[in-house]
Amino acid sequence: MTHSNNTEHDVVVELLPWYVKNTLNPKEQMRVAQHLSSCSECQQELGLYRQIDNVNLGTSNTPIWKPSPVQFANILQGIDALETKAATAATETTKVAKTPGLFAKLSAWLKALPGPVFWIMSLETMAIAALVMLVVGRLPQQLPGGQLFETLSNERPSVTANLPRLHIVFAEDITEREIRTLLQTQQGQLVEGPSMLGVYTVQLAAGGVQEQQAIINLRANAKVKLVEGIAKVDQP
Amino acid sequence: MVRITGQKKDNKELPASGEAYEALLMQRIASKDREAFESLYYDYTPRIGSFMMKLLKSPELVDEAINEVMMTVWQSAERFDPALGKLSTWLFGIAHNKALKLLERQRRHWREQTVEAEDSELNENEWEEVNAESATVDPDNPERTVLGWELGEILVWAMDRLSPEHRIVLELVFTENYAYQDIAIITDCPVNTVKTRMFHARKKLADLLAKRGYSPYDLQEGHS
Repeated sequence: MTHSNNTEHDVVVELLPWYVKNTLNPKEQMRVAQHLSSCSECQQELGLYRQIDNVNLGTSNTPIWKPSPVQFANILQGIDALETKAATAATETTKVAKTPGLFAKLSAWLKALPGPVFWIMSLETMAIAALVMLVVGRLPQQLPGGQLFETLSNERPSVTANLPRLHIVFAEDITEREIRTLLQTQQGQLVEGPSMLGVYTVQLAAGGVQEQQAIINLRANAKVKLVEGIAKVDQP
Repeated sequence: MVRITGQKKDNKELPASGEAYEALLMQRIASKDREAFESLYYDYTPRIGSFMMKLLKSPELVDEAINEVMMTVWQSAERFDPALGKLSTWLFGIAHNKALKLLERQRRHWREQTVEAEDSELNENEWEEVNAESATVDPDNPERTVLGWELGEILVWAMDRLSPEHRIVLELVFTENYAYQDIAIITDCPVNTVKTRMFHARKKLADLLAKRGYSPYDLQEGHS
């Protein structure tokens, strides 16, 4: 079979299932009927669709499903559970939103105080805050004698006095007490270190042990691995 | 909280049927009226349940799907717009989505269970080919009628071997009497896709029938 108008055939053949079921609009229904009268291929297609329609798509061997009170009760139970959960979540959210924070509680408490008490408390609070700021502001890590203790990792170690200074490396098994004794006998003070290589900087006290003597003394100690003097640097 | 009434209640405040009934019913469900919800359950789920039985083949799965459909209705009733279509079309749209999800779950389960499924991807065509493998018979074999393979049964057998997408469009046309415009709404795809799916479903059916020794000529009116 050849079609004088393939486009018309293509359109109609797609509409055949709905033509069988009479669910096309009247215009489409008529269009299909007209084409069918002269198209054997579409007539054959129509036969297949009518057969499918007659078979009723397997209702014969498909178990029937029916609604049941038990199932509906289960559905309602599911809804109850869902709504209870949603209500609980909403209540908890509200509780959290309504629970005042520490600042809000403090504000409320202050507002509840009589006027004079409120002002006295406010002044006290401000005084305490000022004191704290003063103490904190005066807390640079200064060593006795006005020396700052800084690590060698600082890019620009500060030089605070024109005093002899030594680089010193201690043995690994030296104790803190031994270091303290060593430094005390040489009137020295740790001002920097340790570096990544374990080097400390010791500054000798003004008018104390001479630099060369201190180096000799320290080198004589078995717990000192290395001592070298550092060239003096003038204060800026 | 839960009532087991056992029967659908006569809801005298609602109109008997039609668009006004559907609109009012859904308004009441949207305002969490459980009697209206119960009316909808008994009025609409028998049809949806039968549709799903043909796709899912298992009463337990249909129960699960209906539960999900009803929960969706309860939670989204206000989204029903009578101007966009009938209530049944809206419900079939929800049911269609749930059924496809359950079918996909089934397919995944089968894949996991089947050790021989070496090339695990079972696409639409493979679905039909796998199901049709055992179908090939000699067209001239007289046993085809002796064994009771009459045309109607062959068609039912062939329908069961179509992909869900093809089966759904056939069911919606021939069992549920939906126009193609409604099917486009239910399956959420363009009208042309509905027509194309129908065309391919018919082609697959013809192929399956051929494997059982029938030609489309056998199906012409007055021939079977």
